Amino acid sequence: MNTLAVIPIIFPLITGIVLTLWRCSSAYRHAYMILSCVVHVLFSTWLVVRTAVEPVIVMAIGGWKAPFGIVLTIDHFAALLIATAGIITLAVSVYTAGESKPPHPLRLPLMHFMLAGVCLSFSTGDFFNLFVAFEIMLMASYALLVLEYRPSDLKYAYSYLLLNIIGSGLFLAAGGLVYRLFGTLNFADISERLLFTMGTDNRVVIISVLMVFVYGLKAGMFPLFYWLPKSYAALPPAIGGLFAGLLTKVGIYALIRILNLLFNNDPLPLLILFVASLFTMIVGILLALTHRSIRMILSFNLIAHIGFMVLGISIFTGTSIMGTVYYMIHHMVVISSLFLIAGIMMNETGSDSIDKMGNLFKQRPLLSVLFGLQALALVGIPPFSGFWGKLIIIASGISMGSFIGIGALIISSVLTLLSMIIIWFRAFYSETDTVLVKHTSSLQYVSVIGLTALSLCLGLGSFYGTNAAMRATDQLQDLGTYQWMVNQAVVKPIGGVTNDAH
Amino acid sequence: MEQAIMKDSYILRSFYPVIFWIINIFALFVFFKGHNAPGGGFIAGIASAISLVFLYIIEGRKCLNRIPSPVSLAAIGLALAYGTALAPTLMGQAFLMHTMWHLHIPLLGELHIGTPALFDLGVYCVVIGITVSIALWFDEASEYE
Repeated sequence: MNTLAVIPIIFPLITGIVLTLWRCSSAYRHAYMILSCVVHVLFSTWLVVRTAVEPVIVMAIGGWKAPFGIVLTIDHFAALLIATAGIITLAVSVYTAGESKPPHPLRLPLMHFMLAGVCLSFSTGDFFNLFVAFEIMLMASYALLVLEYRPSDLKYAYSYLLLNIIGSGLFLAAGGLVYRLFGTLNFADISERLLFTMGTDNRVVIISVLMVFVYGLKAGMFPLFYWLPKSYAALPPAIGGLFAGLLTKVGIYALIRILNLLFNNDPLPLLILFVASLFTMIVGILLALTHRSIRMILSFNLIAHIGFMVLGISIFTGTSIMGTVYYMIHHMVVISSLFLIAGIMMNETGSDSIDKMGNLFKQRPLLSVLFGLQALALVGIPPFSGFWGKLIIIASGISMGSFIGIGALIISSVLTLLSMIIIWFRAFYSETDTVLVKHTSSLQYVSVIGLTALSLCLGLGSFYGTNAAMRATDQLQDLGTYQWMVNQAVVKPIGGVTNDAH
Repeated sequence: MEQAIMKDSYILRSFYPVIFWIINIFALFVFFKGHNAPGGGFIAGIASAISLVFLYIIEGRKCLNRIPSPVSLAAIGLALAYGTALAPTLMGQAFLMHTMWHLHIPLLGELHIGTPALFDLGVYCVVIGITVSIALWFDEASEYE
């Protein structure tokens, strides 16, 4: 019995409950939260190491056997993402501890409930359970969105809420269709039964297209990204970093997992993804260039880079998925650290418009170096982490002859560089000095330095990174082993702890 | 303003204790009817939350001194449900595994007691806590207008 699979979910949940009960803000409370995050990161790192050599870890919840009960499955892909999500939550926790104004007492527990939902989405092996995990994550994110709002920003929360409710409704509808068609909701069981549907069954295609819509909405794909930038820019900086790192990537993860499962040689879902990715890359980055608020620029950059990942999925070869996995992990780290850096800049200058900042390079050299490193990583200049994922996606695109996609990716990358240069020359390296209103606590610098170091490691250790991404992709596509592991998950008989047959 | 009007309702004020207990006894009935039949912690929690919202309508903000803080109640309920889910893991069983005991009690006949009831009790507390806090937040928000 692999009880281990449940621990990444147990930990944030316990912390969330404890922090809800322990509401008076104090240094001990922050210390406890950071400690809990550290344990979570250590444990999930151990899971990464373990899944690198062993087959997928399967756990049957409640002792019910696989196709009937819910299983949690952790393969290398899931473990990598759980570990990255844990690291980002750790960084955001440290960053929150350094905030001068104490946060709302419910912010910290909600962050952990959200982490629990995210980890459950990464580790679940059941379709309906994936829906539940999305809901846990979304509930926490709704609450976080309006917890510390300014009344003027509340309207952005409405569009977020409305679009996500539509998305959840369609997700549920798709779940119903899956159950009607396959008679099961278990991933492994679905993929087994899919073998019996001959050729291309149109109903499977309909479900796939519905899924593309739902997860595309969560990921912020082209026509569906309306909710994302403004709601992210209205959040407190720390929560903005958390959302940017985690939420959209869960949509990408689900897209990869479900398409990998339901794909039956019909090109329609991939074609939709391909066209959407082109528009996402180009429109997203053009919108980034039109904005002057630093967090809006970063939000639209985030959307443009979601386009890269969607392009990687739409090419749909082993190599392109591998590149997408690498790029996802890099992007989670880099974009959330950039949001945190933007938070520090806003805190110090008292404004989030880059026109009101100036010459930060002279006044805050460390911050500028950190921003520069992360901006280069985001653009994908060779030794940095963004380069390797893009390189693999481009290589796989060339081998599949998808030159339009590759062209759009390169144009979008160049424009990303341009938008980063605009921030650099406005805020960091310009003639006019800004009056800095506040000093940032060193804890916030520690968190950003940590994330920057991690992104440097991801870039310089590209050998290990590509190996891990390759292992994740191989394991993801090896459905036979996955099915076997899920079906043989050891189940103890029901009837109390005394009746222990194994 | 609204609360002042509510206070004037003599009928509501005098019948309130009766309504309160009817709702909660019904909630208790629904709570134990659950598991194999419609009912359970969620519905019972909604019913009990309605009785508390009633109390709030009649007494106003001062009733909050008599009931536990809703958010803490939700957290305690979550901890209870979660503890029930976690306990089998510590004994080497699967997460969320349930255990049943079948007891023979004179006069009452056969009684089934299981850990799902404890889990349901947690759900009950969570539902009361969340529903009451949502009602309180709505009331607070309407005061600003």
